[in-house]
Amino acid sequence: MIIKDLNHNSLLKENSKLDLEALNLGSFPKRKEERWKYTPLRFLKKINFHNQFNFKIEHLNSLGIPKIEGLVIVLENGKFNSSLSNIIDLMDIELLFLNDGDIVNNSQEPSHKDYFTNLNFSFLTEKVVLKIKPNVNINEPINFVNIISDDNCISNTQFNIDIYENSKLHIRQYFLGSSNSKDGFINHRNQVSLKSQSSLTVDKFQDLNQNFNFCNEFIDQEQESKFIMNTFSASGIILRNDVFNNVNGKNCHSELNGVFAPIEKQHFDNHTTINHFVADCKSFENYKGVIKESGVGVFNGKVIVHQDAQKIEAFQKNNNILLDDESKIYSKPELEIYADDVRCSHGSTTGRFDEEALFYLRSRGISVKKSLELMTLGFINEVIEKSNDSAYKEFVLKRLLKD
Amino acid sequence: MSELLIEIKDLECNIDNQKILQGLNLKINKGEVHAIMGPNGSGKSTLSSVLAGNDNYEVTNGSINFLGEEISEMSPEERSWKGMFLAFQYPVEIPGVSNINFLRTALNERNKYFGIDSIPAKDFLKMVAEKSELVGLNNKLKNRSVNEGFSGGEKKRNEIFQMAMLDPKLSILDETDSGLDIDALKIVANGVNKLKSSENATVVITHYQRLLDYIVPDFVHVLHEGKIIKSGDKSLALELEKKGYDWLKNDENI
Amino acid sequence: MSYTEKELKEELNNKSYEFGFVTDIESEKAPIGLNEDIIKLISSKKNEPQWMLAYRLEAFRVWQKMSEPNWAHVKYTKPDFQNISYYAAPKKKKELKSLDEVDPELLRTMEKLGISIEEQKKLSGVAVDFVMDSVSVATSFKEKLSELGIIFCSFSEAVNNHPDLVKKYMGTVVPHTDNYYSALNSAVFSDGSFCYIPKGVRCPMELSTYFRINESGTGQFERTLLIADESSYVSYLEGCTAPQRDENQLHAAVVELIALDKAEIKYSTVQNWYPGDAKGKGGVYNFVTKRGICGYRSKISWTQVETGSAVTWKYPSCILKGDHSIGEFYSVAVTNNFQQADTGTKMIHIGKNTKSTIISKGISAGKSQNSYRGLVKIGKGAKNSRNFSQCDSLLMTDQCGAHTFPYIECENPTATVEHEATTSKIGEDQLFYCMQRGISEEKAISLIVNGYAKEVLNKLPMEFAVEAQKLLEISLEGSVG
Repeated sequence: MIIKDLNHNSLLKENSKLDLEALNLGSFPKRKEERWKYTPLRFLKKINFHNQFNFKIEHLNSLGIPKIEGLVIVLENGKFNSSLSNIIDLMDIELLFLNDGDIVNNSQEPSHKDYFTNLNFSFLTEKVVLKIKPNVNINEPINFVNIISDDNCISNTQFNIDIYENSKLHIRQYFLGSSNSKDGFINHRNQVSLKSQSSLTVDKFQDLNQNFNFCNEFIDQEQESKFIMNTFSASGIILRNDVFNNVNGKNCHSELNGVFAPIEKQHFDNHTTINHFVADCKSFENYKGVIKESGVGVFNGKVIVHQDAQKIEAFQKNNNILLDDESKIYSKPELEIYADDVRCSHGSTTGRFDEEALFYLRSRGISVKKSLELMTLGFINEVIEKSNDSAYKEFVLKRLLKD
Repeated sequence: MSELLIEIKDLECNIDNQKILQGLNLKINKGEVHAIMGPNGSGKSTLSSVLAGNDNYEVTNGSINFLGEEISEMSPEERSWKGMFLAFQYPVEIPGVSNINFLRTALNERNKYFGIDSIPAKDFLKMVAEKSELVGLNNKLKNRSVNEGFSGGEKKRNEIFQMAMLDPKLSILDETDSGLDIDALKIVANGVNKLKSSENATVVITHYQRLLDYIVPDFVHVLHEGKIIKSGDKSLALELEKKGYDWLKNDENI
Repeated sequence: MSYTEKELKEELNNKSYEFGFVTDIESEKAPIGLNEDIIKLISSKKNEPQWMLAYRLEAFRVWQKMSEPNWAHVKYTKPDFQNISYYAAPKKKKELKSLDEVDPELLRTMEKLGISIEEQKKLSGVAVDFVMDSVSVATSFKEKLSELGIIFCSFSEAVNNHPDLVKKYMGTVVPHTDNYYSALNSAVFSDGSFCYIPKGVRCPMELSTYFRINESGTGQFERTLLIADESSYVSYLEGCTAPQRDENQLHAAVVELIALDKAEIKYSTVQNWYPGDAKGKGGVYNFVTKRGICGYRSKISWTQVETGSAVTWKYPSCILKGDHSIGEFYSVAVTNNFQQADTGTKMIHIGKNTKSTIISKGISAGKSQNSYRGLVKIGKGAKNSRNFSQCDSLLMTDQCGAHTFPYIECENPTATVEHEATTSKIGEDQLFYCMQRGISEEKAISLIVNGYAKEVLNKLPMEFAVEAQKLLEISLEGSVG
């Protein structure tokens, strides 16, 4: 394994205060814009961010996550934290960090230039590049932990994953906010490149407590590659995920799943765009919203089948459960189809749990609270099951159910 | 032997302001099997729902005394903990929740109520293996979601399996025979018979005499317009099978 | 490139636009352009009272501050609003008292359309309010309707004869501030239909209006106001045909429906504006605002069959304000050649136990783009409300597009909202099966498409359903890629 220079510096001068709206990064998104219609950015605008970074966390287990084994890359408040990380030597993997010359030279211009992408590139605090050589199958998951532990801290981070031909990898991403910090903001970008016949599974877990997290994800797939991403959103003032999955080669498999469970006025926004540029591919989306205590959930999925991309099968599903009077859901599953020989469908349902099922459970001696919990479990299980590690599943479930 | 299990007095209830039960009286002792028969719309299923505590039904009058306690204001789960079991006519599908998880939760919730430790996984699984044999429940079904994708017969067997697991004091079988072929019917009845003891009682709600060949009742009651209009022994069921219900509706025969 | 007489003849011979012809009637036209003077001219031509003119001018002021929306999934050259004549009326010869007095040319036009008033009278009991270039020139069955207290007349007549009703309801469902086109319409509307059904009256016949665009370069700004008073019922039909043109024509109508407590309105549209030729030249721009509001236990049902227009922008909607009210939207939208349609509905649930159903069937052929855009909003107080939406798209060629943009906004947990959508190609096995049984490809397509759209077509009144089926067939001629 190659590990390059781990010396950091900041592109932002220390102590400079950041007023997001005043930055010269293109226009700050407005509610009038379709893509930002439901996101309450006013909460973000209020905050005066800084990016002095301090390491505050002594042990990962203080964050309530299960013991993580194998390769662990930890960023805290936007910087690589080597003492929390576990950089073990893995064959066939190349790992690079921001200050490495190669990265700076290779840092590509973003293709999608929205405000938060510009913010990320202009005030980048850390970037990690992971490259997997061809014909390698790495069974143990690689862990990427991105923590915010300082009030009002802004962290602009990037994670690039390049998987070469015929290789296979599993990544677990944790976006965490320490329980005693507030108004911190992780503005993260994932850039994934999948060469032909490669495969990547990403389990992404977001538990930010009183902090913010936006993730822009760009995935490029070459032929016969497989990409699966499972996003579990447990807490945060505003969480927003923007996934752009470009399928450029034939016979690809793309799969985006998610469970979002906002409570207490939290706002979780999921936006996905799957671009089918070529024929003979399959894509699947399955997002489940469990919303309670004035939480707000948003799902905006878009599948675009471009002209000549024949024989596409695309299925999009969004089911939501509202658990009390003050919760809200905005669901917008979209299809844009420019080819004729396709099988595409989407479905969206919103409602509450079936009264009859609730009675059935209670008649078997299960209390109302426990019944709702059990039904919620049943409701999201389909997505949780996508992850095959039982300890991880249990942990994610617990956090999603706020157990 | 004749220790009182449940006593229903002058029970009246409404659904959507429509009167369904209109002064129903019934006494059941431990160790007894009662059959409740009656034409469509006579209130049979309403009775089972009301006993189990479905709050879609509004009890407007009367009392239900179960093991010395008035239960008509009790939640369905509390009634269950105290030993009430309803085998549903249409068992509900609960996608994503496995049968096993469901039952374990049910047992643990009851244990919690009685201040007992939760059942260890090993004992639980042993119990599952034992009880599922009783109704020949396919092993695969136990790990599937509750009732999801089960055939009609499988659902009914699953109900009896749950009954065996929860070991109730009073079991109400609501049209458990509907949709069953003769072989499945025998298996289900056999399961019920095995669970019978001097400590519990069974109420069989049915349309047809057929099931009563296999689960032999001590008493047969005829329900009509929300009231029990005639009671007798098992010969009453045979008579009903022959003559239908109409002869009873003419008062002189009551 | 201009359109020649010869080409027109060819088109007509090819029947590619069956109802495309020009009626030659002298008409009176306003100068092109739009300013306060033009609005005053329109108002005075129509002998309008002062309050009506004030309303128009206010709308015009609002409109001037607005910009044309561009969120719809359509591309077109924005109309030059200063290059349109905002008023054209057939020359008033004298007051028309009977059909005999109607211009024979006009009668012939109606005959060509297959809706001759004579025939209508005899056969179907449909009262026809025939709108030729924005001004009603013939109405029938008026007497019978008036016996029941039903008012069915041109909008201009209503302004003068029933000002209280117009003042009370106009702009209450679609305010002049609502959107760019409704503001424009409120400023310059030429004429349209007005209908009032009194309390407890069940309108005994289908009320029908046929609209036509007749004058080259004339913008059409129809306005319809339909009020169903408590416990009344009405079924209203609106049909459109337009003559062939080589110049884009703008149509920006406003339709307002008011269903008071326990009333029911069924509003059916067969829309066949000129879609442009096979090369995408010409065609009508149809930017319509249609909306209804429901009182307690009332029901509004929109059914539309859309085959025409070069560009369609249309969302017949229901505001379900009263408890237990019901909104329905059934739509078939066919696009062929270079047509673009962005159509759907909005169901705004405000009252408790409100219910809405959306069935949308899109059929895209040629190089057309067909989008469904629909909003289902469950407000905070809309307890136990339900919505079911089904949006299917059928693709006929590999050059066209079918898109679905549903917006589901739910703010009440007791509501149930279900949305389903599918997009697929016309079944090759179905086509083959038909053809093997000796059915030609074109006929087979029309058969399959009609089957696909049946759920919606069945909602149309009988006499309309037949016409709609014919239209589907004509619209899809030569559409297999």
